[in-house]
Amino acid sequence: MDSIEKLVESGHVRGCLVTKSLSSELRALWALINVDLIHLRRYLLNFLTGLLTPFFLLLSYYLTVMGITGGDLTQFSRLAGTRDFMAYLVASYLFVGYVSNALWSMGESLRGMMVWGTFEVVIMTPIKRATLLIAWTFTGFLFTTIYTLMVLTMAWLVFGVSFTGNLLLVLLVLSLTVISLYGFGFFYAGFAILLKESWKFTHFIQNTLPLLCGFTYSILVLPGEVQVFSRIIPLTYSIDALRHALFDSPTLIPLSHELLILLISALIFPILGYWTYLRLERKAKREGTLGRY
Amino acid sequence: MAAPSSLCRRSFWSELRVVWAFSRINLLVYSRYALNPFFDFIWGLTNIFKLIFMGVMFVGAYYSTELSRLTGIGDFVSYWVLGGLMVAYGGTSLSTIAGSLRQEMREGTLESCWMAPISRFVLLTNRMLLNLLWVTVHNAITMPLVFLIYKPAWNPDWVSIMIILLLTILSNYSFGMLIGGVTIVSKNSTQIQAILAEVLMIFSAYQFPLAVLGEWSVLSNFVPYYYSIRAFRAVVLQNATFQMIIPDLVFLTLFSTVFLALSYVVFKRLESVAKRRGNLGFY
Repeated sequence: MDSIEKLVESGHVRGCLVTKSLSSELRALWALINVDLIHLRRYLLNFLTGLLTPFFLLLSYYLTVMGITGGDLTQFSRLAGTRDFMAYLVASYLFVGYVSNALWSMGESLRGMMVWGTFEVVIMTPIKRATLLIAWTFTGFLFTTIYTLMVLTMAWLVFGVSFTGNLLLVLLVLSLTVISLYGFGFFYAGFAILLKESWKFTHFIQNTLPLLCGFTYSILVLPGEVQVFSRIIPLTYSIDALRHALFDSPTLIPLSHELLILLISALIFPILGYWTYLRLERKAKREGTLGRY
Repeated sequence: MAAPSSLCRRSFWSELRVVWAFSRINLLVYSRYALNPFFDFIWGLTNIFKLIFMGVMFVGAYYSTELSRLTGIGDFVSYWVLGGLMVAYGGTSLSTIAGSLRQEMREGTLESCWMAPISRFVLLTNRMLLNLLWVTVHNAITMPLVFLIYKPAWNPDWVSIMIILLLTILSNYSFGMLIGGVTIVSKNSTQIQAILAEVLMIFSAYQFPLAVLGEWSVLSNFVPYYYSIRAFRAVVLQNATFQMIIPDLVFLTLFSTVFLALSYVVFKRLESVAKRRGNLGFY
């Protein structure tokens, strides 16, 4: 084995995975991302058709709102701070896209590898865990951005949606939210190793969070008892602050308090999540269930 | 001594044994993960409530005067929940064929199953039965809950409802067969299926009155969901008798027969394309 290392040192073999270096990590990162890109090319028709999905969702929402309001948006504007309900939805849609990516991409990639039976092999390769985690989220982030651009273009072209407001504040809120949710993403990845069939859990959370945090409505329309739960979830303040930044809608608590909650979440959750992930991965290794599905 | 209902000689019983075998596999996989039923139940319930709260955000109550003006039904909770019920059954019928084909291809068992002496219909449909059963169990839990919370004025005529349900399942099965054919050729058709489902739902006017579609509403005449949902709402919310929904049932029967035959032809064509290319079992 030392002969390989000598070959690397002598420059005969460059960026070899046996000795970790920045270039070997970058090669591993590219290889992992390339897997997803090959997958995309293989099912290109599926990917291209998927780009049209946002149009139908927006259209369905538009028709539903028109069907029950007939254009009278008095009640809505009182709670939302805007009459532009399509912009309100698009803001939620963009938020959900990045939130979902941060929350699930790591766990879902990991689950996919468990299904294909490649997880154990990948985890045993001499690649830094951070490289693996970045690779598992990168393509998701790329696809989310492509879908987001599609949504924005369609919303602008078909429904005349345009955004004004404090864009710096929007970026700040989104960044803090995504960072804190990556922490939960680490936790979820660990949970996926433990639970295996974790996509049902994903669906559960993916549906409960919008319900409690009011992704498509203000939480003020929820019954009082439910609002108690909503108010202890940091994500509620993320979407609330985002809407305030975009539409100047009234906030649930002072904006500075909302930003402070988001900042604390962004500091604590990634550390806590990564620690939990490592613990759960070690547990699976000890029990010998790492590659099982 | 001849083996009873052996798979070597196909009979009704051998086909039933196949259905049972597939159902057992699915039940085993499902029960392998103990929290699945809980997650599924909550998932369905949250979908209903999210929609209801969105409605409240726009009209401030559980009643919409605009909806009442356009359809004669102001209770938008019932309007959406009943529409959603039909979509749940139709959607299961629409998505199961493609879903099970994809699963078989991913697991590498499609070619073996295809070569087994089992009728194609059983192979394509077996998972649907279990899924429909699951949708029914799920609705049997969620509907009483919705009823308890919102106390809507529903008058179910069970015979009419069962006929509408059956025809909804059959008419959507043809679309399912079509997507199944596309899946065999393109392998991953989840987004195509999602778009077809969205288009069908939009033209079924399951969440809004048909009038808001304007001139486009003419396309609803070609969507089986439209007749299913209209008949279902008429029976449950507007006390329509069986005679009153017969025209809708006739259209549903037409879809169930003509479309199904056409879809089967298209499916067989696409299957032979995959066979010629030699990639039937690939994924």
